[in-house]
Amino acid sequence: MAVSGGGVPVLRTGERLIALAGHPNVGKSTVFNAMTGMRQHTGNWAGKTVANAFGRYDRNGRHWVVADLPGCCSLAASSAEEKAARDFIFNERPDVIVVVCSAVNPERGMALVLQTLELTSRVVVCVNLLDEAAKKGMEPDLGRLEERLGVPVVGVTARSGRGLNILADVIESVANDTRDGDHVPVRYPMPVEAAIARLLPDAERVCPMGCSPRWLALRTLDEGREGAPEERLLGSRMDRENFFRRVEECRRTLEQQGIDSEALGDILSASVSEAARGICSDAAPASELGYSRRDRILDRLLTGRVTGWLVMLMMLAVVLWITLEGANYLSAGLSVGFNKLEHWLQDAALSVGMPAFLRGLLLSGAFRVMGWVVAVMLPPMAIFFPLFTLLEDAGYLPRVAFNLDGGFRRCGACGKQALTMCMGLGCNAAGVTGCRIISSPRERLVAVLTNSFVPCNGRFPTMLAIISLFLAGSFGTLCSAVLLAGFIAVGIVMTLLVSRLLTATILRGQSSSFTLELPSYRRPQVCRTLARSLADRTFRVLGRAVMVALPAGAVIWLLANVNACGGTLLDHVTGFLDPLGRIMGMDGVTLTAFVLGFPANELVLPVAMMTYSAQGELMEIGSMQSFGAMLTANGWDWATAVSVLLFTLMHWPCSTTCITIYKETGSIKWTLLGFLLPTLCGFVCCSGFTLLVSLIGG
Amino acid sequence: MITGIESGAENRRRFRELGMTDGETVECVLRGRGISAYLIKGTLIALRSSDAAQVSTCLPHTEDCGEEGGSAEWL
Repeated sequence: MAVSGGGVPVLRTGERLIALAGHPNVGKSTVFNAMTGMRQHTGNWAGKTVANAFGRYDRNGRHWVVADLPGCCSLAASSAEEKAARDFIFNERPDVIVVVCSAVNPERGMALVLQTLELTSRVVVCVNLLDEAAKKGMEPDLGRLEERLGVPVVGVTARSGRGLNILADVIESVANDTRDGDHVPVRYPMPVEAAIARLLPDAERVCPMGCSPRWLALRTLDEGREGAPEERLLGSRMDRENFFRRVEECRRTLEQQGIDSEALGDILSASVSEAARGICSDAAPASELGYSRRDRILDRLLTGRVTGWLVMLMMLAVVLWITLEGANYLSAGLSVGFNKLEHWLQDAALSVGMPAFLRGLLLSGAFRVMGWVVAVMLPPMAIFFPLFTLLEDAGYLPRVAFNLDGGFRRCGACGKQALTMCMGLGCNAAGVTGCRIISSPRERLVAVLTNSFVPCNGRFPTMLAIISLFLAGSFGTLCSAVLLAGFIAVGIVMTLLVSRLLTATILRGQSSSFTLELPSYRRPQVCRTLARSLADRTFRVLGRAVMVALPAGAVIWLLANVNACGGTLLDHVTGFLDPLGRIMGMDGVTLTAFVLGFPANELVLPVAMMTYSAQGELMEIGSMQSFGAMLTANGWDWATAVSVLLFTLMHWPCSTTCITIYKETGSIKWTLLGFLLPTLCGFVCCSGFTLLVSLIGG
Repeated sequence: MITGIESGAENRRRFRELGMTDGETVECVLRGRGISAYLIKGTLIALRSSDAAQVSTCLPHTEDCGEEGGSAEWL
């Protein structure tokens, strides 16, 4: 049972709180999953955990709540993530802080460990990725580490579950141990230590519980008032002001000694680094093979000026091809099943004596749309997403961001937008949430607003169907896959163009710097990832199918069969939208289908189908040939197909995405823009294309 | 090898946290368009050239000094 998201769970009496901290990409989330049995998505790129996640577990009759803090590099409040982590530690006061670091690269994690130790001694160091380290011939001496650090050190391999029981036991013993250690993790040069000594008495008076006065002194010396936790935690007003005044004095003294604030920052981090290096060279020597030869060659290939792009396009085409092939098989099977089911239900309804109206509403309407969604729309989604997750886990996505960064930089956007864009390929709503990894608010907004320009995988089936029917023709599935890749490329180009437009007009500003960590390649646990992703995605879509497609189907059937003012309601709507549609190169029915597809993009095709067939014969579920024939009979040709494809690419985001945009930006204005931007672009592109075709055609 | 970071650079703290302290060895491993990847303390970090240019380096054991954006000798 877990609570995930920004909210903090209320701790019940007797429950203990554990905070998990650590650098991005050390398997912190894997440890979290293993401890709590939750299935937080763990991708192999830095910054993946974007919201605080909480989980619970029970052990030895005790209840524990685990908080997964976003990956941070240090406890100095330089980024929003790190500030959030610090605020959390002060406000919630966890009983134990578990710092996860990587056995493959211990020195980096060690700096964080030391900084955490400066804050509190209720720490357990968890050295993860022991298996990877062993492969590289590294074996950290955990006992020695424990000696040097003065806190328990536990080695685990979270992926396989090794060592986790020991970790839980050690956590418990630390939580029960109420003594406060007085081990000093890092010694600084004389002037700094002198300043700390001068500050200690005042610091002790204002220091919040669970925090070491030495840490408070250090942080305020370094960053001034901002370095300290929230004011209300710092004791009485008078003590507080005294303390800050004293801090200013010390800082001025240091300046007189030639150490200005920049130099101070340098000294502090240098001391921590050196201490970390000392400890590691003693207990956890790094191997030369840290960045292995294999990784090097692979990176050269994947990020080369020419080869990088080739590989990206190829990868996309291959993934799409597999999706298409697999989906065809799945669809065929599912369609047969659903058709049989519908016939059976029809018979049952007849025998029960259900009135025709109700029968039509429930079966020809609701059930049929749902059948289309599950049989035709679901398979491509269920296949694409796990493949995508595999790529993520292997660590490929940051390389994609590396390749695309040049383009994004020229458009004034953050390179991390490449990552959020890729996430949008999976699901636009997830992509929008993922924009939290971009620290600059201006660039984050650009990323949020342009996320819908890449097709989410709810739109894939629609695009695939239309491409196979009208464009790829007899050239087979590989051709379809390539064409779809081409359209996605168009989406990416549009993302860049619109980003450029935004940064040149309403979202002007400086390009912020950023760092992107390129994690080492990890062989993904293929079976486990595939299974988990498949199940997760399938359930989600099925759930949506039932909750959204069923009612939508019912509504459409109603619209198509209720007569008013000389025509069905549906006819009125499609007739109304028809002129607009014609300008864009499609007809009113298609446009109506898009409108009705607002709740979920996978509804568009089934709704269009329903509408056409409501004006003609009924359609068997899954029969793509008759669908193609029906479209042609209704005036579709290749130009219509292209227009519809363009509009699928660029139209308003689905309702879930809109809601997410609102949640992330907190403003109606931006949500409205997020709604209008793709729509207008789609309108312009489709109309433009149609105009072009009519001009050329004659 | 790192000899210093341009004063007043906003990224100063960020760079320090990544492990770019004076005397640390850094290797440029990948070059892209305007972005390069450096091996710092065993981690591969990608930095834009404009940011990397704020870090001054020199080859270890020599007197040569140059900006990070230009040192291709270690590849």
